[in-house]
Amino acid sequence: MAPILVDASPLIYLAKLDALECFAPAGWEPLVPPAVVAETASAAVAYRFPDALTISGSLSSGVLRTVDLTAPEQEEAGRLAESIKGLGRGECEALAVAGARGSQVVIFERQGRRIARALGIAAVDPVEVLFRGTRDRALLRRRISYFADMTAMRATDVEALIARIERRMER
Amino acid sequence: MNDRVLVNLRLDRDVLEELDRASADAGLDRSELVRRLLVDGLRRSRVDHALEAYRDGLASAEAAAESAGVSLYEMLERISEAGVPYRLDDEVFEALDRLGEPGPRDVTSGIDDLRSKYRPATVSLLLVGESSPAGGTHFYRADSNLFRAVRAAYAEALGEATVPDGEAFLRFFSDRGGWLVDLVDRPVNRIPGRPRKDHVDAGIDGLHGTLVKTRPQRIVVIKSSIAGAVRQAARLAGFDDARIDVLPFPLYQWRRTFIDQLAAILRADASAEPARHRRTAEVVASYAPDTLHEAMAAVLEVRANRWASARAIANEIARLDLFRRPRDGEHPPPSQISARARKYPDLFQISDQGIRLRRTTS
Repeated sequence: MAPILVDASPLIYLAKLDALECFAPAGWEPLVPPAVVAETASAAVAYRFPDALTISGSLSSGVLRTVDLTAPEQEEAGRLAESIKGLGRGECEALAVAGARGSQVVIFERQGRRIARALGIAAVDPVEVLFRGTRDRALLRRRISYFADMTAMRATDVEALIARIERRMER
Repeated sequence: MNDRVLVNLRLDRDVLEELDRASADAGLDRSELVRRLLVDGLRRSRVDHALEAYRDGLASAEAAAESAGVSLYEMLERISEAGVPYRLDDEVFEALDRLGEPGPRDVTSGIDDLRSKYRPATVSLLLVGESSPAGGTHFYRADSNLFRAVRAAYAEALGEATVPDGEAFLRFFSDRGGWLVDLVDRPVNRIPGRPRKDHVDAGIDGLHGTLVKTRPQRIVVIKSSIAGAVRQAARLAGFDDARIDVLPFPLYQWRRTFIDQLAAILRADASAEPARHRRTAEVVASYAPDTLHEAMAAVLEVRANRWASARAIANEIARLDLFRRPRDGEHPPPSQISARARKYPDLFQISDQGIRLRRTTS
């Protein structure tokens, strides 16, 4: 399976959708940098946000794997944080590892994907993870609808996604 | 204990009266209530400011959470409550559309068998491509851009009537010692940047083995971005670098260049007169009179026909004053040298390393 770095925001949304298991059927091995683990699986937020427990459970069970940064990757993450204002620490670590190891990265928001592409890194949207990793049509529709609600996705985008689900299933 | 500082604050009377009522309701003294309201208000202000930065595309959700001093979970909730829309770009929809296309395994399915079927007993011309196209077409399926351009080059070199089309061309190509291999065994034409290069580099060992086994007379690299990897494999196999040509992929404006260059290679190889015994001067003389390419040929001959950049040739022509443009009396710039080399593919070989004479002088 191809390694893929996963940033914090997509991880949280995939956990909310109970879709962390989507990576394996999509052919990806999800790797989570330490800063992303700290942002998403912290015990301090677990009572108010139980999704943190889902993520820490997935890390314990091996569905997700923590990836340690090498010294050059840590340096690169620091350099990204310095040079690109507006990125979080987790995003910088995910991009640094993906860039160094030639992996893809699941990153949230259009701007994040643009930055990844500018760095020569193939960026994947969480929507693509859902499409690749959800075989069941009804479940995929539910997940996309819930994701769209949570993220206030534009109606035109939602319609385009639903149309693609229908087309895909017709094939 | 907090280090507190006494401040004076002027308030409207009605605000003060409301504060007094609220403090009485809460069972707090007025100062404590004001302190709590200020702390809460500042926190809200930080979150609002971070939310604005997120909404304006100046910060990611994570960076916004960090600057607001809240957890990412809380910031995502605030973003959702504020109704800031999550926007998908065209690339996301394109990626989803590609999911319905054949996967890597389907795209390359049967290609190895076809490649084996059309492998000539003796490989004289080895075309090296990057990978099968992600769209599912392939040279050995007789339906790709590369297939059509290679066939067109053969037709140009040998005559349209001589060269069959469709699958018959694949047999024709094979019978003349032509074979195509790919550096990468899966489609990479939609993979950007470093991952794509890593795939290409990983194919060097495989190509090295192919070159050792087949010992082709000539290699034609299709796409300059893979020339380095092919040269590395060729060096490992002890292959003469002079017998490597590098052509652009035959798409858009590069299709004509590809066809002209490959046709010139085929004509040179098919020439009844052995190329090594033909003097450059004779080749030059076979063209219509035009002294720029004579000047270029002279420069290359003096340099023992080593690869030279267009700039180096232009500089040498200017230094020796070998040629001036009739229209303005100026020496030709490097762009004109490149254009001339492309115009006379039978005389000049072009690759990622520069320009040289296609035929070795005696």
